[in-house]
Amino acid sequence: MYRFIKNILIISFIIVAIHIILANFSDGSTDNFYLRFTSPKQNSLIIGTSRSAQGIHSDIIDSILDLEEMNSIYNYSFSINNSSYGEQYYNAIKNKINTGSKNGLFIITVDPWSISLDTTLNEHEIDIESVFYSMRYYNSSPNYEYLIKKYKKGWGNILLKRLESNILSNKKDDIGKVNGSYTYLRKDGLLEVYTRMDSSYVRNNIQKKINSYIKLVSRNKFSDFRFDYLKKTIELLKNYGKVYLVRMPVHKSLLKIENSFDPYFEKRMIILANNMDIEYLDFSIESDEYSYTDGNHLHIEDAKRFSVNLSERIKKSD
Amino acid sequence: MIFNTIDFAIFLPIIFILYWFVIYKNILHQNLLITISSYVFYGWWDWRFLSLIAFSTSVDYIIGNKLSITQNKNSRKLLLFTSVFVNLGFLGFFKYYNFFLENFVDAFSFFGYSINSNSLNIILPVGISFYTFQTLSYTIDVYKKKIKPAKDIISFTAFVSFFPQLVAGPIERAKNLLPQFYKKRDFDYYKAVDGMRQILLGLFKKIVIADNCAVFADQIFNNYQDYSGSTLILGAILFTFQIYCDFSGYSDIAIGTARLFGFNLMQNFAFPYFSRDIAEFWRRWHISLSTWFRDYLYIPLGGSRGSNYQKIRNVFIIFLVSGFWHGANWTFIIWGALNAIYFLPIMLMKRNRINTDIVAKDRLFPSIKELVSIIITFSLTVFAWIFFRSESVNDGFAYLFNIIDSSVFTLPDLITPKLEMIYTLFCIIILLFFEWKNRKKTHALEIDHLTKFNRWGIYLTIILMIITFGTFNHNEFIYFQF
Repeated sequence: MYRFIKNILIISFIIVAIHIILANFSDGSTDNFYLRFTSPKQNSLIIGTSRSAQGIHSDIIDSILDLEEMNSIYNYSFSINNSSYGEQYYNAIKNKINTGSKNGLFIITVDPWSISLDTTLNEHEIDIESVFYSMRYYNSSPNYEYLIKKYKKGWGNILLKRLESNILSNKKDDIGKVNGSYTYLRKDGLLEVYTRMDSSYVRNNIQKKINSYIKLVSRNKFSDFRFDYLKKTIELLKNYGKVYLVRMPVHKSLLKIENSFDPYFEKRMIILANNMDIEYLDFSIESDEYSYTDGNHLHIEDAKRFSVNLSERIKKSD
Repeated sequence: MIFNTIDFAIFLPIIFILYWFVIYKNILHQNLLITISSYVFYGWWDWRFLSLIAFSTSVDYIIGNKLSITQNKNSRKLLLFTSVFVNLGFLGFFKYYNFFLENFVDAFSFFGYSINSNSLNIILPVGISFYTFQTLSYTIDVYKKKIKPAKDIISFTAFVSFFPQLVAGPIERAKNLLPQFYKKRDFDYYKAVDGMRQILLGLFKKIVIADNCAVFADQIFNNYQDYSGSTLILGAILFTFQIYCDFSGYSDIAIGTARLFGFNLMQNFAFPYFSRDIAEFWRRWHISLSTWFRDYLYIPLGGSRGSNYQKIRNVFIIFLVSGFWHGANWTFIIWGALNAIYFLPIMLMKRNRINTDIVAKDRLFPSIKELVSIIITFSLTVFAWIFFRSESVNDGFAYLFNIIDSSVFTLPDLITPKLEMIYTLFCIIILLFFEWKNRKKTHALEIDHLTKFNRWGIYLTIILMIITFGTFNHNEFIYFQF
């Protein structure tokens, strides 16, 4: 018996030691969210779903708006399934803000989906699949809690992804042939996505997105719960700096679906911005000026152009 | 609780220590601990359904004891009928109520009658098909006087709810498992080590192969219209390995865990994908269910005796019921029917027992004839799994029609992320290598004949592969839904 226990303890010790070592290799290649749970508390944030996660370059905003290093803006956007406005995302934002700062900049991106809710869900089922659910630590590196609770792969995959990233980072232009797609989460929170951009592939992706949005239309509807949390988020962030409400551009076919899903969205945002005394910047009317990987997300180069335009509009409004 | 979670990784050592260090002197206490821990294990998923197990246990315990003191034939039949009615009643309600209702309504509307139906939002209790069959076999065996009824309710409750095999088998017979609860269990180092090896193998199958295959198989099956014929074949093959590694992985962990507590459970899979004909496949796949149907359905119906009509009828009944056991969907029934169609010619030609021995028994490699037989049998099972995996019969046929295309002669697309696809295929090859090497043994990692250095090398390599290639999204085992 003792020999058995001794062997099990040896193997357990080896497994734990390997995991501790592997956690230290984690970086932007680990997954699409991990690094955002390891960064310190921030003075300025970009809030929203995958549209802003992939579409707003913090470094461009920093340079155009002359944000000091201390106030440099951090992209804390995730994805529609994780960071729609609600209790979970609200708490995550609360845990990420440096409450000592009062001069921050907060860009809150909005769209009809992030304030809608699946009508089949019960109240206690809202956001239980979110990456924030049951998380307590948002700013520790390595973040063992995240890796244990949320990381979907064995921790050896951290090393594998890092090696893969080293190989693929030099082949971004040819990523379609090499690996299909490649994502990397930058230290400033931007999610870089490299994928094939040939017209038939993009057309196919847009069609898939349209199909998934049509499903969303039949399943979701505008949610007072989410809208209230959007208001609460704005109220919270206003305490620590200037807040902008932004609607990002999307492909015109998706915009059409969005507008038919929530025809009052635009009006709702204008009223909200007026009531909260913040600026609302609507870029949806510029849809045709950008290219998208799947209709929903800006292509990385166009995201840079959009970030410049966004910064200019913020600068003008000041 | 699911085997591939941290919850279970904490739960198991606690129970193990209590079992062997705290209450090891008293069998009654050990059985009580097993019962309590089994109820905790099951209640972790949904405590409300514990009452179902408790009720089923009580009914069969009482009926078993009544049967032993009742001599009157009619009374005995009534007791047996009560047990069958209660057990299958629960199963029928929770698993098949909506299926029958919907089909009933469809049938009426087909003939132009419109009727209102009230389908219920029923949650299927995990493992109900497994423990129902286990307790049923107990009552039937007591009725047939093959075993004596359990006198001790704690042992009987532990037998019904034994946590390693409660939710997805192996479906144990009372004759094998129940007496083990009466005897004192001594810790056996070699048995425990082999148990740990089998747990490791099960985790490798589930976490590395099944859950990675699932990512790609789901992608292909859910978007079959978008893929070439060859990719659809690849998708079906990936599902073939997903279901095997998912289910046999569970069985490996269950058998290994039981061994840690001094119990021997029956072998549930015996390298089925090396089968040379479909009859051999069914002797090697989900053995505990196949033998259950053989003993309690096929043989009572007459088995392979009687006229050709009776033989054909019996084969169809057993395979259709087996398909229906898996789920309330026509896809499973078609899967069962396909297997019946595969099996019939072999049985009618009396060639269903020609491959009872291990393939290439004293050789390293199979002969060309054996290899061709293995490939044909494997292809037939892949074909049948397409219906098993499809959401509906229409989807199953549409998937097949999409395969029949000139694109079937092109190279399959490597689904993104390509690297993960490549290492998943690599891990399947590693598993097949170990399975082939150890095909005479009870599991692929029975490597006690190797030197200590080689054994530890293999353990650490598998652990590293689990850590590196494993998927930990806590996917439930597929067979939980059955």
